[in-house]
Amino acid sequence: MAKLSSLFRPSTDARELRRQPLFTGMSWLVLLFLYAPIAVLVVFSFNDNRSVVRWTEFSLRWYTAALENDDIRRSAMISVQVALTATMFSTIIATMAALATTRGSVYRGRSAATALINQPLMIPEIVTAIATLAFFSILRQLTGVTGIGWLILAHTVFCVPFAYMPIRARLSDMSVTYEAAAADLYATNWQTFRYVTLPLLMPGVMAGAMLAFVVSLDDVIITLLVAGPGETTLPIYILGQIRRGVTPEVNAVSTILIGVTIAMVALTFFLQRKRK
Amino acid sequence: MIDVKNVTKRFGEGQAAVTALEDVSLTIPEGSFFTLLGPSGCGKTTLLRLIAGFELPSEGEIALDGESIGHLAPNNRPVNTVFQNYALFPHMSVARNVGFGLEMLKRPKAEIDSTITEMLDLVQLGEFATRRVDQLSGGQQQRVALARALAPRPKVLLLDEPLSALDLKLRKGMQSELKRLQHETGITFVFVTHDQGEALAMSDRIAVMSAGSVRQVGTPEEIYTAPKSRFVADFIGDTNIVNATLLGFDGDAAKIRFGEGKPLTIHTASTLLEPGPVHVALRPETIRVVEESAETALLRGEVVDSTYFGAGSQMLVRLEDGVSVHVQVSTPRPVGSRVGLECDTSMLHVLED
Amino acid sequence: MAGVAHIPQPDAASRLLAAQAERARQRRRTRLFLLAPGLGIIGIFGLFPLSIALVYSFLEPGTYGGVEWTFSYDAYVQFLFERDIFDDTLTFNSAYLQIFGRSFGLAITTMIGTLILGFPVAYFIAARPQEQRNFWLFAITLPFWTNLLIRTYSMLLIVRDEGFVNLTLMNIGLISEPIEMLYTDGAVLAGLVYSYLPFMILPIYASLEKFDFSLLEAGHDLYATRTQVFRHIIIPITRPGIAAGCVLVLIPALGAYITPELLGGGKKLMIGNLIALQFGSGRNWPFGAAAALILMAVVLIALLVSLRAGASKEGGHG
Repeated sequence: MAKLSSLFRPSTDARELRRQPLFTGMSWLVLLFLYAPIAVLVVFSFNDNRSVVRWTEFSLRWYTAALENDDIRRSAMISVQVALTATMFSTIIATMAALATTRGSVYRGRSAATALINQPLMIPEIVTAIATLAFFSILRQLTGVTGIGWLILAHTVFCVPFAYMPIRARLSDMSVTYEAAAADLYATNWQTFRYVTLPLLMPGVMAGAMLAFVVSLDDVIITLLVAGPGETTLPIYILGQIRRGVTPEVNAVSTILIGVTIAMVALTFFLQRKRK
Repeated sequence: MIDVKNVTKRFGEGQAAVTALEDVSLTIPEGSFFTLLGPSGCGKTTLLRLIAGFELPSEGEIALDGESIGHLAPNNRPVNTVFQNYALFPHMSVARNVGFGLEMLKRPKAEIDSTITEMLDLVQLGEFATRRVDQLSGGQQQRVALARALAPRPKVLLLDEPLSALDLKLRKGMQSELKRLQHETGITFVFVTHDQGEALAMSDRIAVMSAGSVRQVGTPEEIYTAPKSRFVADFIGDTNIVNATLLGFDGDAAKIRFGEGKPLTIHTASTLLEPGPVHVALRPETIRVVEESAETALLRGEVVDSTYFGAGSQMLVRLEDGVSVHVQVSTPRPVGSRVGLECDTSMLHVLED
Repeated sequence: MAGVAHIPQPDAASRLLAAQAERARQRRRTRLFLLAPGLGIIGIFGLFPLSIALVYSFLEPGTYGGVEWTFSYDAYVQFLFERDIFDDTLTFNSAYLQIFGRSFGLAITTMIGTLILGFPVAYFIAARPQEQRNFWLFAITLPFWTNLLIRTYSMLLIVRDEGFVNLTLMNIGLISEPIEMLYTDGAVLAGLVYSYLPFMILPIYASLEKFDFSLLEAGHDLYATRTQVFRHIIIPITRPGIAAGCVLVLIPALGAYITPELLGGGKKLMIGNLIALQFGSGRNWPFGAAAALILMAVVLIALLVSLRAGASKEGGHG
């Protein structure tokens, strides 16, 4: 097969047109630009020295220090708690919304519904943050309810569109014939969803959940404004530390966070490519 | 037996509504291999989807064995479908696909298992039960789709162009396979296709459709030899349509004449036509070429082209009124020569329009 | 039709009508059930708070943050004028206008910068064979998902006085004193470009993804030069992608908070910092809300303009 296809490959001249040789060099430079700072951060998190840029010796001491730091552990727990809960809610909500906006015939208000779901993406985060703060401060006063629930609610709202994207993409790639076939074979609406739609949609749902998790885990601005006392998430803790001055401990925590993100996104990427 | 009575189906609403089926009525006899034949967009798939229950008719009634089913959801009809691209569930094994219908009907496990085995044997895929569907070839997937649709023992099996995704050789094999299955199970098959060869080869009865209505229903022979309308004649096989003048009727037969020729009595699709110009169908293989001066010649013209195709040649003869006629011959006349054409008058047929 | 057995079923038509109505009803019910949580939560906790912010912007600030429920348009007046504490006279004050001006300047420069860097990359990826595209897409998407704070922090490590760049340059003897890069507009700009570059590359790539590159050969075959091919074929095709990319970069760049905070050192304020400040130590919620609403209005205008630009791809060049 490979040999056969090479017969149809365009001639060198034609490929030259596609390439725009200058662009190749630029692309590699951009890649360097995107990754070099992160690489420096990661490399120096393994440095046995207070300096974050002068290399002495490989060491895991900053990781040990970070893991033994109570503040870091507490804020990491809060981050995970908020991210997991917000991910669960936002993924369920996004799955339902995706079903309603891709399945069935076109109806009036469908594109408006899609736009509303994506609304949090259309507004600068700082605006969402202060508006949420303003609203929640009223609600907190009116209801007397305090606690981490408010932060989770705020996270759920901005996670929905991120979870929605891959689920919707998967659904619109999925032929409706499968659902027709299930109905034809005596499945009720619920059985069709349970045994056919949901299993086929699962890679999209997982991808959506992971993106939601990553987005929640990474959030700074909304959390900074909405979080109550004692609700410091890991990014907020890191921000505080950076403001006080750079330490290798922050590098270590950051590297762990980057590692989690990369793992999640890589998995998402893999899930979306599978069975296409 | 399926009765389709005055069924109309419109998509969309108001000004933008598109009529896919217009007042269609037809009867599909029990245990028959019935084909809906027509070009794409003729409404054949819509009719199939109405019988399956994926759509509801806008008006009219669909009855199965005397019981109205047109209003039921697809999962409440004893009707199963083989989809054009099979729609096998990719996340299930072959066996689970085949057993899906019975599983949804909550039949006992033992019954489901034995039916799966029986169905896979029926389509000769016994050893593939545990495979995943994407490990099967196109032809094998086709058989699984058949087994899956037959497993719940439906009263009617609907097949939506199931052979169109197969290559030519496999298609021929599946044609006889489908006929065998229909014979063995005795289930009514409703088969949708745009391929007239397929329809003629497989069907007990054919309904030819165009533009949302049924143009003619009959056995393959009737459809082929006695097309009622110009559309059917054109759509089925290679047909010549020539001009003639209708003089009147003689019982069920029509009296016509070609040009200034002598009157002939031939079959007609309708006895309600007005005397005057009409169209007559004649199949290329029924025409014989004779000398222009021959007494028996019904039509006369000039050979304008001739194409060799192995088993013989096809000549194109332009008649005096400018209409071209295809003729199959073993030894073609030279281009430019004038010829006469004769044929059995029983092979001629006046069309409705 | 002859031969059709007519079973008397006078109610068939009414049953069909009932079934049609039932199906439509069920469809609506399902749709409502599926949409309610999403539209509800985003409507109530995403969209509605914006109107609360609007209300807040017309109130008076509370002494310890929050608001006093007294009507006032001071927040908007304060934007342009300074009220004298003693005699209540208004004098023109351009400080906030300058912050807005700098934000726009930086955001638009960021947009242009990401376009110049991003377009070649998007084009390059689209022209790769399929297997290589996935690698590149993954490589470009990954930073997009990586924590913005951490990425900005890593940038900080690079451009500090005793940062990676300065130390390296000093080590090889190119400079003897560190170049001051941190806390400059340049640093903020570099940070913004660094942060939002993937937002430009991805939509442009999307518009080129399905592009048939043999069109280029057709263009050259018809005697078009390289530049002409670019202008008449590639630019019109990528226009919607460029428009989308510009919006996706402009919106977050205008509202940026972390980048100016860390790389501008809190001295080179942008709108985002100004707003956050009012809800923090500034304790002027109404003013912060007013600034946020003005920012949002600008963003909406940018969105509308880009919709225009993206949509008019047919009538293209002239």
